[in-house]
Amino acid sequence: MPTHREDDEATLGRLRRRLRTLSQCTHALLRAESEQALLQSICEILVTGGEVRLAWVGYYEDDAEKTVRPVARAGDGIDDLERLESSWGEMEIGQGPIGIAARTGDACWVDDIRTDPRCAPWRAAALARGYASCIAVPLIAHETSGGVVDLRGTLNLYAAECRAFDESAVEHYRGLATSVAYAVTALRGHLADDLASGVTALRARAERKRAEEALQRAREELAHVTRVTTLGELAASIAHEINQPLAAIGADANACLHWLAAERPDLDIVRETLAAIVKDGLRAGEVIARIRTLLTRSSVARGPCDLTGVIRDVLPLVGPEIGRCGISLEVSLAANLPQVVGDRIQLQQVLLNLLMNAAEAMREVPPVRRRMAVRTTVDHRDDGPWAIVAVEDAGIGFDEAEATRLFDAFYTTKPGGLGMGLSISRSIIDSHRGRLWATANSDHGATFRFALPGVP
Amino acid sequence: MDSIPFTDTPPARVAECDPPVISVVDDDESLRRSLRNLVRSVGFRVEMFASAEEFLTSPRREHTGCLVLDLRMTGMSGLDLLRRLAASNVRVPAIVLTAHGDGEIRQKCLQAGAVAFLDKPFRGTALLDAVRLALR
Repeated sequence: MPTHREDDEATLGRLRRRLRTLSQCTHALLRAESEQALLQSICEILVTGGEVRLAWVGYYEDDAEKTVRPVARAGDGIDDLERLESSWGEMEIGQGPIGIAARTGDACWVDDIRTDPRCAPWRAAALARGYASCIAVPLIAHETSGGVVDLRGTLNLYAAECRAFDESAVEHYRGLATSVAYAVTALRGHLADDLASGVTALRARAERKRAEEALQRAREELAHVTRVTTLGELAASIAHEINQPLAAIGADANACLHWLAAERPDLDIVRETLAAIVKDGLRAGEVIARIRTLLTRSSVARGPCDLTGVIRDVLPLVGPEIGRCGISLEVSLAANLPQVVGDRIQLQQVLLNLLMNAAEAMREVPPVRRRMAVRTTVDHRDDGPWAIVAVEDAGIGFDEAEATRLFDAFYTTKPGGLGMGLSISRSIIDSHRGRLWATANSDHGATFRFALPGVP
Repeated sequence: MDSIPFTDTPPARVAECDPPVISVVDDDESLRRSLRNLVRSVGFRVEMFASAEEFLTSPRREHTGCLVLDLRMTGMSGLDLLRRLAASNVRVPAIVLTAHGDGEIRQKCLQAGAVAFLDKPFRGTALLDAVRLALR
C-alpha cells in the first residue's frame, strides 16, 4: 500500500508534468501560425508530456456515415488511425467516447477499455496497442454571454494506465480544449480578415488571460505541494519541537502536584512553575501555528510585511534541523529594515527553501566548515530603500556551468530533489517586483540573496 | 577514543542517608528545568547538564546515581554519550528520553547501557517510577 509520502510524490510528479505540458501548450497557442500546425503541436506536446500515449484531433464530417476525420495526431499507433473508424452518428461506431462527446458536447471518458461496453468495436485494437483508458473532449468554448465557439471536433487521448483520467485530469483537458477552440477560431478569423476577426482577437486575448490564470493556479498548487513536501522532510525536527514543551509541561505539572501535597506547600515555587507551564504551552502553540500557516493551500492577500518577522517565523521550524546537522547559524538582522508589500506565506516559503538548500549543501563538507548565516541589510537606491535578505553557506557551492541553470525548473543536484525550489522561489520574488540571485563565495559555498522594494 | 577524565578513581559512594543524585542531560533549557522540578519534588537531588560534552567534563557528575538524558541533542547525541561511558567502563543506569520513531536507535541504546526509554511527551509518574527502578 502506498505511503502518504509516496502518494504526495506521485501527485507532485503528476502536477509537475501537467504544469510543464500546460506551459508548453500555452506557448503553442500564443505562437501558432496555422490551424494544422497548432493542432499538431498540441498532440505532440501531450504525448511528450508522458501522461498519454496517443493524442489525436478529429473533425466531424457531414458525410452519410458522419465520420470523425483525423486532422492531427501524435504517439503510438498513429499509422493505424485511419482504420480505427469513429463516427458522431447514432450507429454502433458512434456509441464510443468520441461519438458520445460529439453528441453531448461534453467530455466522455472510459476508465477501463477492457471492460467498458462502449469500447466494444475498438477493444481488440486498443488493447493490442497497450491503451487502457481514453477520453474524448469536444473542442468547444462556452462563453459567459451564452455563445458557443464550436470547432466540431474532439481531442482524443489514450493512456496506458486504467483510470488515467480522474477528475483533475478531465478538468485539465476540458480547459485545454477550450483554449484550442478559441485559438483555432482566432486563427481562422485572422485569415478571413473580416469584422469578426476583431471580435475573435478579443476572445483570443480573453482566452490567453484564462490560460495565464490557469498557469498561475497550477503554480500555486505546485508551490503548496512543495511546501508540504518540505515540511514532511522536517517532520522529525518539528515533532521534537512540539514534544519538548509538552514534556516540560507534564513534568512541571507533576512537580506542582507533589509540592501542593506537602503539609505547608511552597507557593512561590508553584507559582513560578505555573508561569513556566503557561510559557511552554504558548511555545508548543506557536510551532503548530507556524506549520498551519505553511500548510495553507491558498496564498493570503498581499499586505505590508515585515521581513524580520518572516525570518523569525521560519527559523524555529528549520533551526533545530540545522542544529542537528551540526551547522552553526549566525543571524544578523538590520534594525531599520524597511517593510515590504508581500504575501507572508510565500516569502516564508522562499526563505525556508534557501535555508534548506544551504543546509543540504553542507551535508558532505567537514563539520568544522558547517556554518551558515542569515543577514538582512538595507540598500538605499534612487527609487527608495530596498530590503535585502542573504543566506550564506560554506557548502559545496556551484560552478559556472551550474550557475546558469540554478533557477531552471527541474534542475537539481540533490539526490531525490525535485528541482522546483529555486524556480518557485524566483517566480515568487519576481511576482513581488523583487530580485533573487546567487553568487559564489570567495572561499567556500554560495550566497543567495533576495531584494524587495521597501514601502515608501 | 578519548578516555574520560575521572575513571582512574571509582565514583565515591553516596552516603546511605543522602538522597541519590539524578543527573539530567538535556540541551533544551525549559525541559531541563522542568525535569529538575519533577525530580526534586519527590526529594531527589539533581544536577543539570546542558550537553553531553558538559556532563563528560564536569566534576559534578561524580555522584550520579541515575542519568536522565535526551536522545536528540545538538552536539553529541544521547547514544554517543552512553557509548563513551560504556567504553570507559562507567556504569550508570540511564533513562533515555526519545521521540516517537526512534525505535531503531533504542536497541543501540540498550546495548550501550540504557535501562529505560520514555517517549516524549511522557507521564511524570512514569519517569519517577523509572528513576526509582533504576536506583534499586
